[in-house]
Amino acid sequence: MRLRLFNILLLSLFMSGIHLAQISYNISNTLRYGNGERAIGTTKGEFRYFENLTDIRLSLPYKITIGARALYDNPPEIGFVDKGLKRRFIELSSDNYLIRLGNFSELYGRGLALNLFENRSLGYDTWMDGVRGKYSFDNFNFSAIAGKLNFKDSIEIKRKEDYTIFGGGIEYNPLSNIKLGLAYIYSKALFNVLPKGIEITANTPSFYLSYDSKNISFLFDYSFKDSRQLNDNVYSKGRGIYTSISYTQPGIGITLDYKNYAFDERDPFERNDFTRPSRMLPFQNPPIVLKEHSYTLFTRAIHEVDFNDELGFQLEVFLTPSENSFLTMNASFASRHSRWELMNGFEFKKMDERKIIPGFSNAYSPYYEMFAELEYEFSDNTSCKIAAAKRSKILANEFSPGSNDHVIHSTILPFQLKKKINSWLSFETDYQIEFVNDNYNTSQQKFNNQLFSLIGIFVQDYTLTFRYEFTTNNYEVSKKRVWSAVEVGGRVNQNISFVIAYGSERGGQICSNGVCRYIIPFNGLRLQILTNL
Amino acid sequence: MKIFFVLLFLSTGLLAQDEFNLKLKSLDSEVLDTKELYANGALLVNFWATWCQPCKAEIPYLNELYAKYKNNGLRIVGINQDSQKSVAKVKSFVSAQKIEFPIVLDTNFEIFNKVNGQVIPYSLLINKQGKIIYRHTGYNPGDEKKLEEEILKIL
Repeated sequence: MRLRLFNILLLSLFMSGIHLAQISYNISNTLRYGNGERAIGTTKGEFRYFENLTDIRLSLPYKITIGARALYDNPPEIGFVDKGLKRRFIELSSDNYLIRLGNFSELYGRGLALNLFENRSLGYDTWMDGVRGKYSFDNFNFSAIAGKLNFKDSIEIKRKEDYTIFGGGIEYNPLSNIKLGLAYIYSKALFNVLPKGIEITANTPSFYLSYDSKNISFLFDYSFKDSRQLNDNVYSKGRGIYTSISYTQPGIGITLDYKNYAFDERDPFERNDFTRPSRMLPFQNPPIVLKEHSYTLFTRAIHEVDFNDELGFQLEVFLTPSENSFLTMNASFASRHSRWELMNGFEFKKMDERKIIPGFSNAYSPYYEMFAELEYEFSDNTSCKIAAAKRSKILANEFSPGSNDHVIHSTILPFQLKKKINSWLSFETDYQIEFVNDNYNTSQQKFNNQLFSLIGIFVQDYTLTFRYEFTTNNYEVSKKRVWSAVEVGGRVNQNISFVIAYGSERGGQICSNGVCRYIIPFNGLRLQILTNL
Repeated sequence: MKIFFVLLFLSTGLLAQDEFNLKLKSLDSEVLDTKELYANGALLVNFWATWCQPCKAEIPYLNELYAKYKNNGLRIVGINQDSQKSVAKVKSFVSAQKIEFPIVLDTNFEIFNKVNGQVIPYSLLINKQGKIIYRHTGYNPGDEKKLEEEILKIL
């Protein structure tokens, strides 16, 4: 019924647009196909995926925009089978107002109360279906949302939650470089867990303020979550704080950010229940306060942030020591708020809570990383990049503390060289090595992972990539030791580009043919065609 | 669904390519009207992120193009695609790299979705009439030469 109404409305608008001959368009298409074998642990099986999405935007007279996505994910690489007309919307907008009916995303502050987004590579989608409005007046910006969010977790597949959400925000600029914001979200949800589902209501207000001057920027965002399970009348409360401060001058930039997330602190018995209704809600998504890396070996075994119980900080420095060089340094540290002691073998007691600074002992499951990278340009045709990182990840075994904690230390050294031979040939070579010490690998605590890639770039538009990866870990989950793949990429013209790859991939973030994407472990053929009109 | 695609097919002959008309706010709190920017001669819009290696490789060349042709009417706007996870460090990065052209934050990817962007880096070259006349996806060494050729065609 809704689709029929949408088509009728579309036809009406379209006919008026033809009459006025003022429709403009924007169309893009992404086709992804894979055929091969996927290994999850030691289990292998044939795997094929086919995804095609066509995004269309039409700009009509009277400042109206309509859009939709024709989607065919059957089967998808990640997530659920899905096909049909998605992301459809009608929007009326001007310089100081916007009204949108249909699907939308939204962000308030830094996302502690609301951050709706889609990440197809993770199969994560929290776009809503409803109405969104914005209005600006003098130094005020008002916004409001209402609608539904049907959330399905592609990783924790038992997790299916249906939300009805109402909310809004006000931003006030008392001065041009100061912003004060208030947001409030009310949600009612049905958690589809057996035997009969759980209904909850939740309130997530948030307050944020920011200050921006030429050299100093500051932001503070605070939110709390107050939820109630209607079936049992059980309440749960939590809160989150995020703050950042930056100092910048030409040639130098320093940023320090801090997180203190306690949306749902739980003992080790309850912590891993991902369907529990008291945890942070899927439409909340605060900053991770960790470095996002582009080197492949860095993107594996990264710390998984627990937004329900984690505090920490990150310091990042960018520096241009000379005209030909660029230096990046990063340090981050995080831990749980408390250590937990098992009393009488039956229940846990929270001990020694950290209010502001993360905990350093193993009992707090600390994580830290230190990273430094130097880029140097020898000439217009030759440049290199060298980096080093040290990481430590500890997962406390609260059931049997001390020697049974899982401790992983790693040191990663990447090196990259780019060389332009002449106007039609360049190459890029990349070598990364990671030294790992993992105490859960009982017979082989120390091992290393290595990755080598060579990319040839021809007449700027075509690339040939060879990628080789190797591990000395006898306990590698997939039982493989070597992965290798060949990839051909090309830009047919300014509207069409493609990538064809064949071989085995261990997974991680890979940049090739001039773009970056995340790849999950796979063995076989991959094809991607991007079109933009 | 079928009606939608039939209309689209019939209409392609009647449709004009989208004009790039937006009001943006830069990191320096400057209000940018793309109409005023491309009216000078040409506007290059570049979508990038601090975590994207090819994007970072391209930026120094965009800086050079801006310095070379801004007096001829070229304007460049960098639209940053760092999500709220890493957006705090964008200003630090921009200052350290001494990027001269204005940078706009697109933390919720609204602008990127408006142009149906798929991957980054992604560049759009807009002429005096506001029409997107050239699109470029990705960055390989030497792409800056091709970009310069396209810019010179319209300046």
